[in-house]
Amino acid sequence: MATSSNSSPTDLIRMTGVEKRLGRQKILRGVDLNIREGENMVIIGRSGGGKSVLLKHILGLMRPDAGQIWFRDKDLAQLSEEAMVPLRKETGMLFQNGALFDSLTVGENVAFPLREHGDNLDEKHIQSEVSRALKIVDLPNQEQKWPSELSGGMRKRVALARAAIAKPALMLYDEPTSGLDPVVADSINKLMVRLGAELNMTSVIVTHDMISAREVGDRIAMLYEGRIYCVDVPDVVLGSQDPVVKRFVNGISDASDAIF
Amino acid sequence: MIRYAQQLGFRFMGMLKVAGQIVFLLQDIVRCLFRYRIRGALLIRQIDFIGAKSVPVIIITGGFIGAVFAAQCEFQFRALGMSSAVGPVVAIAMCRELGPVLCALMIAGRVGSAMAAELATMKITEQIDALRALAVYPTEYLIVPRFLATLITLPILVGLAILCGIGAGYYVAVHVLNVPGVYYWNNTVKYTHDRDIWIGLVKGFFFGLIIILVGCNKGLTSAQGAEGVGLATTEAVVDAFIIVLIANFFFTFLLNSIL
Repeated sequence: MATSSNSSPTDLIRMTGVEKRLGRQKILRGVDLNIREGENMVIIGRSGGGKSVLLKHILGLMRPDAGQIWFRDKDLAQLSEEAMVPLRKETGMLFQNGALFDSLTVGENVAFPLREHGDNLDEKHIQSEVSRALKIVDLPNQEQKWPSELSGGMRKRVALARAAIAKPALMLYDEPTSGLDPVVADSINKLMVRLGAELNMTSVIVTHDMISAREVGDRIAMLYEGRIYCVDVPDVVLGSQDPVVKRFVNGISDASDAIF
Repeated sequence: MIRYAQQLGFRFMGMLKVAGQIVFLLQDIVRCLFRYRIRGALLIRQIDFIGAKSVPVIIITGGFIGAVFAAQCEFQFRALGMSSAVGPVVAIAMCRELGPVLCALMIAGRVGSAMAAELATMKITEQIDALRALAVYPTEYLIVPRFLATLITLPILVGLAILCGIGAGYYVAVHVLNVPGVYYWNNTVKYTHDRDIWIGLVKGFFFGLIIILVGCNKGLTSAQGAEGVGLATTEAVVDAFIIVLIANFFFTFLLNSIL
């Protein structure tokens, strides 16, 4: 299927021929994808298809077996863990289940990036930033709560506040609306769009949620059998007549999908 | 026969792999000690968890072992008319062997398992990845404070266990079994030397090293899922027990010839 992923000077991320094997299974089989500065790129694909793995490659949490991942002019595959630090300071990631630190309160979790990398910010400023970030995610005055006291949706919103508080240039979202009711999912979608616009961030969103993909994405890329099968604007991808895309978008299984 | 040899080979390779992981972990910790500032607040929190919160367990363990050992010695020595020798025997045994080994076993059970479980849980809930995503190196943030806290507190806890053992031994021998107190104490002071205490403290330091490295390595390399966390916790305790007991044999000969 035709794609619109040709390299351009405004690309923040460029992936070429990215391959990854986990155990005996080859998850990524040559992913080529460019993500432009300031856009919201949605990556869709089957469960276990390597979407989260791809996201972790963009952040350098995983290294490709082959291929290159360029963050501006830096090849992530060649960088050491320490050389990755400046790039990670420019990046925020919302993990699938929030990944809040159990041993820290909500306030301490959200303040974490500022305390670590905030260059001697005074405590008053940190507290006001934390309050502001929690207000943005509709969780005001929750600083003293522990992550274990929060619902799934609240944890995701706190994690979003933590990821965005340092105003990163790139935000990565790993299934931000999975396991949430439609109302909370909609509020997360709106929040992602708002944050992207307010902070002029580039966002990469991995999701199964077609409503979310349409609402949030400037472009949608479909990962299929370890490769990018198509990339285009939401109307084109979601309205595609290509049997593979159509089947996924409309959630239609066939004999090859049979579990039993 | 071939199958048995194969299994043996796999086990040996597995042990070598774990040994390699532990060496790399130690190398990484040492690198972090020089590369990053030490996080005082986290270090104090770990000293509180590993040291202060272990004090009751160590007092009970050291005290009762010293008391029982003194009673058994007195029962045997009484027939030989050597009851006043119970003091130095208890003191030397507590300093050189019972204090450090029992203290290490208790800390491995209480702290080594907790570390493995905590780190394994952080791993499967992506908290360690989250740390890396937030540009914080996990070894520096999670492992170094635990490492330093264990190395600082273990010799102190061993000292406490030794003191409690000697004190409880004295109480049982003198006040329960009527050994003359002056002879008991004079003989204890006369035949217990600084080197006996040093041997115990040095052993405590190295046992702490074993416990922290085994516990953290098990946590960081655990398999996914609840089963992985359970297995990491169990293995952290069992492996630390075995390594401490075997290492103790070699330390006994080595330290005896050095100190």
